[in-house]
Amino acid sequence: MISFTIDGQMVEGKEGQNVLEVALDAGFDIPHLCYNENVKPYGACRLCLVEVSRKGRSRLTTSCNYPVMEGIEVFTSTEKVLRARRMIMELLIAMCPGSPLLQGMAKEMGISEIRFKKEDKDCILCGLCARVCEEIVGAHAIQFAFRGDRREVVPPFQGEATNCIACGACVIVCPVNVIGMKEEGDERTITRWKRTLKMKQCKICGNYFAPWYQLEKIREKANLPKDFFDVCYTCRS
Amino acid sequence: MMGSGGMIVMDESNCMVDVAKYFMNFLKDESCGKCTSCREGTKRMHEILTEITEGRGKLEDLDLLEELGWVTAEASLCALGGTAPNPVLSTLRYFREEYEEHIVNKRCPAKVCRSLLKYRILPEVCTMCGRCAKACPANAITGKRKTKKEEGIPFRIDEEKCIKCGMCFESCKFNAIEVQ
Repeated sequence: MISFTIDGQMVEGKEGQNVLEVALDAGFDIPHLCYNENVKPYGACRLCLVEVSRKGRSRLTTSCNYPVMEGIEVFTSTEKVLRARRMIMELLIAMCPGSPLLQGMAKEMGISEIRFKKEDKDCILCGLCARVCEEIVGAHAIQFAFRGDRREVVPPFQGEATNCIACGACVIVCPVNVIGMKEEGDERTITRWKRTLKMKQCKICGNYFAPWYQLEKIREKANLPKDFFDVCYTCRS
Repeated sequence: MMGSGGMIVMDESNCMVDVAKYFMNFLKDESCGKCTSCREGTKRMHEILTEITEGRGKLEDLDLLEELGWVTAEASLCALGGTAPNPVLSTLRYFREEYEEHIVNKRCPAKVCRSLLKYRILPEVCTMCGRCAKACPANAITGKRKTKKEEGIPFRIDEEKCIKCGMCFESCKFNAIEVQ
């Protein structure tokens, strides 16, 4: 066990854990957008900034990708931290003023006016969709493209995401809910990635339960028998 | 500090606001775009500086620039974000009056920021040669050329039509055009 302090309180973490994980478990409130415990920390949104003091030197750093270390002192709400966090929140909400989640977070931090020109983007570029697709699903269907202020998450060459298995993991993980998925008849569409796939019908209940392409991919990967996915998950159990 | 080991010598004909804007324009493209603070920070600093050089700046913008610069430097992951606000912060520290001149009096002391410039022909110096009227691409200069037979009318610039390209200023051989 590695012990250190957060806002003066003694906490313990395991080797390989990061500061944000330990702080959230201990009940500290640190706002964050691009962090999800199921994927590797990325540190893009910069909202989880904390002040870390180590060997007498202190600096601002993102807690999501700062490993726990013996004897460090973490401060989650110093004047410096709050000042930086508020400005980052203001930058984010100026970028996507229409997001209810961001509006709520900004209100909580006491941001009443936005001093920048409002844009009409919807994606906050946290990269969670792309990271989940790569690390968990393994489909590599979407990635970041371009750089600087033109950066965006897109399917290859901004066309259809031909590797997408329409599993919907990105839809669930997106913090600002801007990836749409709809099911009409025997088709499932992930609108943002322009991907429409035919669904398979369950032999017992007759419901369309998952896209053919997705089931084929999973069957190949897990080396399952050919008729394994003839019945849906609910009918099988 | 900007760049790597190079030195740029500037004099009073370089507008410090314009210099800061130039570097921000470079840096907003150069940023990889991962950290919010660097991607949005450089973009917004460029946006504010553009407003100032085009005469739409407000005095509050200067405090906002300083705050934004501080956050960009402190909150970004790599050294690009950490040093990106330097051109803005150091010009603000040493040439704040130049920023204020742009905002309050809508004047660019170095005569660089085009939208803030005013061209005027000094009638007492004008020889009525007509070169400026010929050079003007916007046909904003009116007057009558002086010939051996006829009296001329001193040329003048229509401010509404003037696109501030500076062609007249360059074409005048008698320094009869004043830039403000």
